[in-house]
Amino acid sequence: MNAKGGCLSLLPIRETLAAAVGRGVSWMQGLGSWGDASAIVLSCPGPWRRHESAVVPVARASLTQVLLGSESQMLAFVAAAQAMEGRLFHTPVPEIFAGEGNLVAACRAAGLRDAGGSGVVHLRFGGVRAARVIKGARNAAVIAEAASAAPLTASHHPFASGTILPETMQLVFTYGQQTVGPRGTLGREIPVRPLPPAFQTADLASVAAGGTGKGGREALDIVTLGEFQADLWAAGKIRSSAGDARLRRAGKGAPAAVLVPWNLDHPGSIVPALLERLVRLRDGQEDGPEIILLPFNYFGPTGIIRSLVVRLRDAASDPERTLAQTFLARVTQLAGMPKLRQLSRVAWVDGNDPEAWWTLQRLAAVGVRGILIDPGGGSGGVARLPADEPLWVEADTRCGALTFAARMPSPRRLPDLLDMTAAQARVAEPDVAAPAASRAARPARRGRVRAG
Amino acid sequence: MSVMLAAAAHTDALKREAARLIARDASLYLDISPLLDPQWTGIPVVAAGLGSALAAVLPPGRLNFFLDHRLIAFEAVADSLRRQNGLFLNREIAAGRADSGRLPVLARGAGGKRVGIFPSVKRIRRAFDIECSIFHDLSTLVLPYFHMKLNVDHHMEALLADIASNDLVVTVSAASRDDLVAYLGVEPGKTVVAANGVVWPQGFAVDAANLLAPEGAEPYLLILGTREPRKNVILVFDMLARAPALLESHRFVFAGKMGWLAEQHALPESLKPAVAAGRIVFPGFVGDRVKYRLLAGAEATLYPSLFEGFGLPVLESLSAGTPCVASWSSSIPEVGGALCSYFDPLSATGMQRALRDMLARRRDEGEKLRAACRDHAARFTWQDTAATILARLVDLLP
Repeated sequence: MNAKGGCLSLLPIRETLAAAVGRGVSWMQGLGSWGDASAIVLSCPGPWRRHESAVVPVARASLTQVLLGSESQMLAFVAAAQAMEGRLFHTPVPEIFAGEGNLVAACRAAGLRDAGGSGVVHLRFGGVRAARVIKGARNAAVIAEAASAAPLTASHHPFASGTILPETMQLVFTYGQQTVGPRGTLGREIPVRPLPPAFQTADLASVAAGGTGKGGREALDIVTLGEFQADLWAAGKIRSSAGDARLRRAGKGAPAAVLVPWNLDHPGSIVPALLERLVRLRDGQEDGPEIILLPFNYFGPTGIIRSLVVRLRDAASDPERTLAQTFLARVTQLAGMPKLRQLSRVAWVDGNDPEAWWTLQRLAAVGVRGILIDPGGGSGGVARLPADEPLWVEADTRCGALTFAARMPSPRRLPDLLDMTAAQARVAEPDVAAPAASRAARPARRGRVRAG
Repeated sequence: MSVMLAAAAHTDALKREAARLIARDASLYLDISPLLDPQWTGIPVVAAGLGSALAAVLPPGRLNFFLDHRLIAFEAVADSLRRQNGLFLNREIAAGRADSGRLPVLARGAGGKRVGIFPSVKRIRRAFDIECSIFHDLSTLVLPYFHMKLNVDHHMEALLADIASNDLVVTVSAASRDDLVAYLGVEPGKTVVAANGVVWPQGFAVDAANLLAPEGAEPYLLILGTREPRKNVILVFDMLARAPALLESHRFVFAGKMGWLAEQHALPESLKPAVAAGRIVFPGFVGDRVKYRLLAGAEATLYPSLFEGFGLPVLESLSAGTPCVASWSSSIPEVGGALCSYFDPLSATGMQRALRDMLARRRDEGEKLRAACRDHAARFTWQDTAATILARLVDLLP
């Protein structure tokens, strides 16, 4: 039932999808048949103030991190769904629409030529806890989270478990076999449909094939933790002389660096604890690579990054130096990928993160070698460091106080991590292109998503 | 329908529902916890409006006030409703002078059937034969980053338990009801939409008319509301930064108490000279009398809110005869109808266009527009709110 009490049958969609897959027809054609829809509106969590209207053509969406997280999941979908161009829109604020009426009006204002058809489809990307719907639209969630990140503690919050979606979510698309979809809403189960693997990196194919090249400086934001200002980060107005200097030194005698993806939407992340441990153990010495954090799933100024700054300041023997040598970076346009690769071709990936597999896929597709900090049970081709120390992460979140069981490398394992990092950096060739599967995917248009 | 006729019709309807309640040998219990707020805005205003309307048609005993597990003296609450603030009520409760004994929950059957109304979060559940609570918006669930964490926790800890323990779920707008249905699967048949009302003391309009000197007064635009991120006041700053000429034709008055989070510090550097020059004014929280004067004297009000459960400032503006330039978000169009000029709440240029349109309309239609605003607002009364809720509750009585 939708918000107005009307039934929206999913049967034609399911049948069409099944038929398309069964016939070996492009899955895209199947997906296209959602669409008797006049518009397909995509959303994901993010700082809304970067946008100048509530609905924009998806190519004009102002995003913060296009390589990882929910924004990248949306862009990968867009690259794979270009047949629908003209009907694809982005809204940063699906919550504000009271129904299809003002949504269609907003789409028209954003350039929708023909508002005929039978209504609007809304696809929501990102974590289950942050799932939102557009009332009056047909809503589906597109999820790349594995189910392993549920908190241990109960909460009164309806969505704290990370397994419950809003009631009017009618369908769940999942990225990849690793993804285990949520069980349903508070009252019922939701059908789950996997997306083809080619979707996962469809937007990266051209970037990966392009090698390092000379990417746009404006497409990669980099600042030191000491310079971080939440309002500027949210607004996308990053100017950092230290960041510029670090980029100029990349590959020219600068200290070795490692990229550390950090899922800000996973309260059980070990990244803050890992960095604090490193800072304490280093005690001002320069053992091991420079840390370049890649925060993703950034909702806006929530205090999470500032909390890390405070934590490291408290832990460091020379706080100013530590904060000046630890960087935050984000790829706001795919044109920034070559610059990122110049900084480092090795990344530490938190295996406790429900999006770890997605992160590894994406990094591999652009020629960055991931080292999985593995909480256990994993196998496969990726380099792994077993995380041998149990860690209870207690987080005060907008879903209440949640506790997560995680594992991180103990102090005695950290030298192994540093050795592996050095070894991976040696192995990484400067012009590694993407895996064949990614190259085969339809090329994305470059530079169409701008920074705010 | 004129203001007087609408109010009379709503009062008659409320009296009928009150009579039905009494005929069923039922008594009403109203939770007064929101009234303890010293400065009434938002939910306390709703609680007060509802309480006043009910107190006018139900005698003590048929209408009871309570806080947690205790009854609160009728006269103490009535005094607070007259004063329109919670200061004295707080004092009387703290001193133990307003205590009227325990809630009569344990005495089965005595005093007939009991009906509980909770204007917001329930502090006691399943204490009455029939009970309902009012959901003002789901912003703490769907937009938690606009709130302080403490507030989110306060609402989320109670959300599902309140819904489950309610015989009737009251929302203040269809948009809020649709949120409950869309996110939590609340059965639509278990809900009722009871819009907020607006009422001003009789002397306010005369007072404002006597004070205002339209020929000599400098035109101004009023932005009314607590300064918090959800209210999106920063969009007005953005508009002024892009179109500073607006500050030459109008002063901008931002009235409302200081809220929370970064919005408090959001005035751009470029606009600080305008503050120093008195072109941008922040009077802070204003009492009802000053609020009415400001509303009645404004050329128009601006309401850029990103999300509302209702949008009371829009209604207050119209009730004072002042048109509103408002965002089209969530419930706001339900309140403003055709008397607002709407814009995209993320678009400063959209707001500027809507403001330009409204100022032109104001010039063209003059007093006719002001009268239309007042007539529209007259449809929203606390008597109607109370009658709508009471009608459904009486129907539910066993």
